[in-house]
Amino acid sequence: MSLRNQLLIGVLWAAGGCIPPPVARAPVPDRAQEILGRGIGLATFDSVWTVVERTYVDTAFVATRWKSVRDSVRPRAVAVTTREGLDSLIVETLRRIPDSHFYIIPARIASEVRSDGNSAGAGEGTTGASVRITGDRALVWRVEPGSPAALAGIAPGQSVEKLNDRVVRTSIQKVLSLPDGSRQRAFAELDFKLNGQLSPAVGGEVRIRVVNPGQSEAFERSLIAVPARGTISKFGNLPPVAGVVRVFRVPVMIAGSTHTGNCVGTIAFNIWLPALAPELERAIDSVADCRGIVLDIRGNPGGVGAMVMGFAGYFVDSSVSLGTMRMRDLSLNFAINPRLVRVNGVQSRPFRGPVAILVDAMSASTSEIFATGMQRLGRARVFGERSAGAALPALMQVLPSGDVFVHAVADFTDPTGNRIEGAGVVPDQIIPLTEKDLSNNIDAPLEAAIKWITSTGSIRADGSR
Amino acid sequence: MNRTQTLRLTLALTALVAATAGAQSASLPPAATLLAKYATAIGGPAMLRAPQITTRGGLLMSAAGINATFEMLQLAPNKMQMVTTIPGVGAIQVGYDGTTAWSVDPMQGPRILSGKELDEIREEADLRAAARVLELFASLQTVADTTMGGEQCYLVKLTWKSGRETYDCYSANSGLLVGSRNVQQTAMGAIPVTSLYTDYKKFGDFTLATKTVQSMMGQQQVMTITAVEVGTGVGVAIDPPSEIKALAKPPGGK
Repeated sequence: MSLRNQLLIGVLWAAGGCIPPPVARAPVPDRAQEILGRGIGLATFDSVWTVVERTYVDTAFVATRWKSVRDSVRPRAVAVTTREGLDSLIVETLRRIPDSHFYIIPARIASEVRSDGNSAGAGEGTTGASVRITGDRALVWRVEPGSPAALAGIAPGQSVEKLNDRVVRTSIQKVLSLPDGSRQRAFAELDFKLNGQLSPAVGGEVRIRVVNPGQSEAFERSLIAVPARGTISKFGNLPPVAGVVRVFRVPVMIAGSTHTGNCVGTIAFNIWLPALAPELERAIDSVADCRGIVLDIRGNPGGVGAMVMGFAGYFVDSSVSLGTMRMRDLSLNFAINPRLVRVNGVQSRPFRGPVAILVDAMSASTSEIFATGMQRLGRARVFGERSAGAALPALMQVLPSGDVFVHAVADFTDPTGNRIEGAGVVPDQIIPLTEKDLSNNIDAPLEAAIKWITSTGSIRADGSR
Repeated sequence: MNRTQTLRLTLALTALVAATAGAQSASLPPAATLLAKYATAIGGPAMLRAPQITTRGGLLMSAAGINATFEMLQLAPNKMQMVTTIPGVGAIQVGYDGTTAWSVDPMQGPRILSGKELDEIREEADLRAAARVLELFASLQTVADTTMGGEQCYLVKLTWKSGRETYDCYSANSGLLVGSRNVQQTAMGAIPVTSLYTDYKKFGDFTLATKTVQSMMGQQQVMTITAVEVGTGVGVAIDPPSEIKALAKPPGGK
């Protein structure tokens, strides 16, 4: 018989990589001291170098600068005997590449096997606090009610001075000193690092030193991470992630309106994982009678890129493209699949009201592919702050060291041909975070999006008004 | 064997030995001969007699850490359904009921396949495709004496009735399929795929490659067959899932 080819790569896509480097999320104990087998260091370096040489789309870079990287770094790879030394060498090597999505997933994280289900005991920890860099400071952005951070008096709007031994302002100053072209992504990376420190493994301790708004005296708290809430999903070699979908109906007053549509639906989700797909469909259906929908993907670092084609189909009624990924010898489109039927077999149609998307500097990769596509198609208006600028489809390769190398294999351009990498998605309405808004629990981007939805004429699912 | 099956077998075997009009290089064996030899080597006639074939196995993409399982059901003459279950993703279904081709996955949702995607699955779902029955092709041509997977083989260009082109490479020694090259249609576009077939084993009257290594975009996946069952086909149907049936109806249709 003829076996149908089921290309897993079609699933993997952009699976690639859209998750921030896990080293920023949870250090692997005892890794640094591990002694490597003979020749592993060199073989691993050669493997990394060859993969980039073979697949990285910037062939001019490969032909020139990448060869000089080999010449300068390879001799040192011969002498590497410890995991710590190898990590340092590979990080140094990958830093020479000007684009995102080149990082290592430690073997121990990649091989962790967890099935979907409750997060209890899964090891994905959180202190309940998240931060964002604004200007030359990092402010506490959100605090989960009842979390270790909340119980310790950590609150939105506080300025973070130190996280463990990291002096936050010093880290920010380093980024501010970078040239314009590399600053956007460096800020995003620092945001990911700071938030990664706030989400150690369950039981891990984080020391945080903060200053209350309008005050000068700092205070320090020790936070012990608890299991993260949400649906823990493990997809391939990517680290396990606790996926969360939050949906609200915000009542609104609309002049001349009576009953239906007197609400705005808000749907926030923190990761693009297939395990969340049913929940996302239910969320959309639960607010489909509202006048408009706000999709909040602030802090969403990406995930499985193929999801954008199905998710956008809840809002777009034609098979247009959200963008194109270009490899060396192949171009593929993120073609939208209009969702005309639900999983239970009931006919439906894409939501036709106005759609707003909220992004910030930690909206990366798949989130950026979605936001820019919807924006450029005229189907959504984007609010918030410029996104991370890390939007390259990536694949994975197991290295001789056992670690997994995530590497970009394609460039991505939006429907108008613009590159998002490095630049990020620029919101239609830029709304910077302020200490005052945060400390007063005002979500300015969300409020702006709701105001726009209640004041605008409806946008049809084909993008026209 | 019923009358329809007998007729189908007769037509197929006739086609197997028919010469093709495709031009051949003088030094290369004719494509039709290579395909006939292959069909004999794998037990093609037995395949064409089978009313129902169920194939199970695994799909491994080790670089990505994905280890999936699959089950494919084929019903003569041209129905097919394959369910691939991927941890962390769920079930991906692909099928063809003789009229409608579909794909349902948790990420993109349900799709009715059309255009080149439909052509591809319609031609692959035909049980005669595995036995490379000549009547499925518009033309055949042996184009090279080459090597795939370290084995000398003859590369044959197959132009299917739909117009799509694929390449098979048949072992110069055993006549078995060593490798193939094709362009697989996906929702995102066409992806070139090279496949190597090894570990041929006998399952009843068939001989099948139980290991297929597929390379695409610098990545590899390994498909392994662990079980093949031949059934009677009685009481077994391949119907589109409910989402696909709903999609096929006009909006608001009953």
